[in-house]
Amino acid sequence: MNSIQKRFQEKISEYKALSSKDKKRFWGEWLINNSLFIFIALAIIFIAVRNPAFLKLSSIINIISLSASNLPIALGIAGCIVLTGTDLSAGRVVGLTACIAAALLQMTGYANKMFPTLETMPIVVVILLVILIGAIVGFVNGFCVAKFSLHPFIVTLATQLIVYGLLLMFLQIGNNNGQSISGLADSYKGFIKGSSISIGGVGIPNYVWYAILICIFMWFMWNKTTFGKNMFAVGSNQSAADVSGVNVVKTIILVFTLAGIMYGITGFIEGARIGSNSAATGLNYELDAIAACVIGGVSFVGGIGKIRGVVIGVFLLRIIFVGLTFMSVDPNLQYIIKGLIILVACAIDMRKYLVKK
Amino acid sequence: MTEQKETEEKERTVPEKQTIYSNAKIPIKVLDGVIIGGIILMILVILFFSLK
Repeated sequence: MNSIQKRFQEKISEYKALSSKDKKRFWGEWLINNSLFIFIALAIIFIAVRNPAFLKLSSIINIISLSASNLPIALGIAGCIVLTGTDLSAGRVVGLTACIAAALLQMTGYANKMFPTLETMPIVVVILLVILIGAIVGFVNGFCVAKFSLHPFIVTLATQLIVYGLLLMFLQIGNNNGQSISGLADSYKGFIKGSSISIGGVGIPNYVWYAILICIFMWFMWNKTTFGKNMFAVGSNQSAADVSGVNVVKTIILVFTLAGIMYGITGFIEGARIGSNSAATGLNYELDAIAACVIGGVSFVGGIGKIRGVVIGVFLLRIIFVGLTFMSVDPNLQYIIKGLIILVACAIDMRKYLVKK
Repeated sequence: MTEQKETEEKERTVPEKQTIYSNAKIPIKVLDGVIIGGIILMILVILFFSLK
């Protein structure tokens, strides 16, 4: 606490020492660098004034729940962005793992059960299975990026298509014939969507707590382990990390594998949350996650990013979309807003880099 | 001997990191324009479609 106070006082004394011209420049820079947050704050106020129901407890919990379901995938992709890469396969891995989890956890006796002779499997086994599937895809991504020095964009584009092909083939298996997978077991739905704690009569779904646990786990991995330090070192300067004795190949593979595990977990959550899983499940999830990371300050320059930034990015993006829905803005316009947000966030990121340079 | 030292020095020198923005030759004012313009556009889109 003392160190924070000390740093804050240092900043104030630094600011006081500035000339009036520099003070103006300081506020100009601050406004530009935080313009996106200021815009979002103003948008929230505007929406709340126009439609007070937006800030009701049920609406806030709805925003938190929607954000929580997207958090693991964003945290996974954030690691790839820290390495100056990206991951386009994330959404499709979420779709595949969601469908697999749903297929294995359909209720016994359901008329359109994908595998009629198969009993509902234990939840733990299915979680481990989807994590394994995600990890395998992540490992393949990481291996190709690290060993063949291929750009993550191309590698993950390829795995995205492969995973989508596998998903379409999977949906044709058994009695399914390409239909959506629904009729999930109550134990699965209860495990994800059930709520053990409620605030003001509004239940908080269990997956919110899982998302919080995942955030804590990822924060620990990023900040308190050698793996995390190596990840930032490789992202900051791969050659420097290599010379310093960091195992670059292993670090890249681990980052992508960890990201794959996160997609598997997201798939497991989404499977129950959506309830009816088809080939469209997970579509464009990676784009929302990348947008959230960029808004949250995970820089494409590499080696820069914080877990709290990703969490804030996911929340802000969700708040804007829920808010636009509250304002009855045409859903198609949300894509325009999303695109503009990403463009502005990237311009801010680039500006910060150029100013530092 | 000097040559060997120079080679060793070269090997030890870490090349400057190439980033996605390394070759950017955009004046900061243009970026400011993109940022401010983008935000104004978003405000206009929200206002126009929510107030009509």
